[in-house]
Amino acid sequence: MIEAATELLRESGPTALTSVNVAARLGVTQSAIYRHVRDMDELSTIASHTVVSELTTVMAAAVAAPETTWGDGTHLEHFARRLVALIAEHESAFRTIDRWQHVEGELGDGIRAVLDVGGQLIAGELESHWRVNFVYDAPFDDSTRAAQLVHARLVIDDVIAVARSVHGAGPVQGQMVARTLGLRLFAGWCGYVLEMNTRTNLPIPALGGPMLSSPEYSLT
Amino acid sequence: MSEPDAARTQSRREQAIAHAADLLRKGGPTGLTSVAVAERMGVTQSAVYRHVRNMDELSALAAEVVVAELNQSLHDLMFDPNLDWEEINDVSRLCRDLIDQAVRNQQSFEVVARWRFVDGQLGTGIRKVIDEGCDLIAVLLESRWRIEFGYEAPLDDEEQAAVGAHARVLHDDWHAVARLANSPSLAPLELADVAMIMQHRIMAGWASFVIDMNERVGLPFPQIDLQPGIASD
Repeated sequence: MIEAATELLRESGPTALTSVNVAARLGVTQSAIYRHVRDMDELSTIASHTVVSELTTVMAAAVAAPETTWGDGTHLEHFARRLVALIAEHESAFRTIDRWQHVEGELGDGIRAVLDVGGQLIAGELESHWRVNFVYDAPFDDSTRAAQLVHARLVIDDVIAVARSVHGAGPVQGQMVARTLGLRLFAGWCGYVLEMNTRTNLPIPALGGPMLSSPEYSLT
Repeated sequence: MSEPDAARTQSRREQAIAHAADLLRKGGPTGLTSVAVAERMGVTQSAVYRHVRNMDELSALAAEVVVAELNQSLHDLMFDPNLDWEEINDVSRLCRDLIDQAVRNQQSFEVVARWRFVDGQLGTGIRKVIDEGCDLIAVLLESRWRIEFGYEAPLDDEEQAAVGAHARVLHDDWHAVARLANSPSLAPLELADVAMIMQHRIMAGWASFVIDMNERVGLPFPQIDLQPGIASD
């Protein structure tokens, strides 16, 4: 049954995950479902955990790839194109996040927990890139660490926001999506650098580079 | 129905919406129940449904009211004539005001978080009002950018869409940070830290918007000094 629910969610998104559809897929009556799970909330919790975890695993691999850098606009546009392709393949997972990440109870808690793990991972990536860029070895205090995590989590929110356009529910179309995502990832990095350099009393670098027809901007 | 009757029914409907909106303001999505609305109106639960089709309709109409209020307060803060976007202190003050506003309207932000992506009239209604909030930010971005770079030509559809896309992510930032400000597990961060995070996000968002627009319309790439605020010269 969990398999059937997970497949439904993966194929058709949260609206399709109903007791009627699960029963139909298994060829059983609706009431038979409730012999095995407490309610649809429980089933949705388990299924959404799987589907959203699949997404974060794929995204994590892309983010952690050795060629990923954060402060270089040209690179970020390529990176964004790869992410957009992944986003397109995981429409249901993004719809699941949008629909359920803020609900109360175990359903929302489960999705938030998966996204928080993603936030930790991005925070680690941002931190290691920042430490290399700004040659900083000292440990962070608790507040700085917490602020870093917030910036990382907001990077994920940016990806979720742009994903709506990839799936046809946002204002950005076609080729513009990767460009927008690239610029947002860059903005996320800039915001993070501002935060960290302010907190550690490092100078704030100027954002520069000629760009015109070939985008070339950096903050490193 | 005679005219006075129609007017009375209309006003009872408006009352129901006003009470429902107030319940949302105070208690968020879980605070709005037909029982609570009936109690406030001094009628039976079933009598509520003489004025609205069902709770989905009432929730949708009430949610539109409270989300529109959030837009209005965003508008008042962002378009404050005393706000100088080139003054870092003004931008800092704006961010602190936005965080104050988030704390004061915690439940209204919760309405957006919980209901924005539900199906039916409820989600559609909220998304429509959110689009209006994004339009506000787009107007501000475009006008600030035109002033900054002295650009007067009209924008084509794609450039206009780009402004809209940047406005939308900034809007979502506002909501994400508002939720953070109200998070029970905020510590060790304080509200002042959250305001600073918001300021850094706005400054960085502005920089990426300028990069995008200047390349699109063929303006030279500015040296954006991120230090003294979001002004670029």
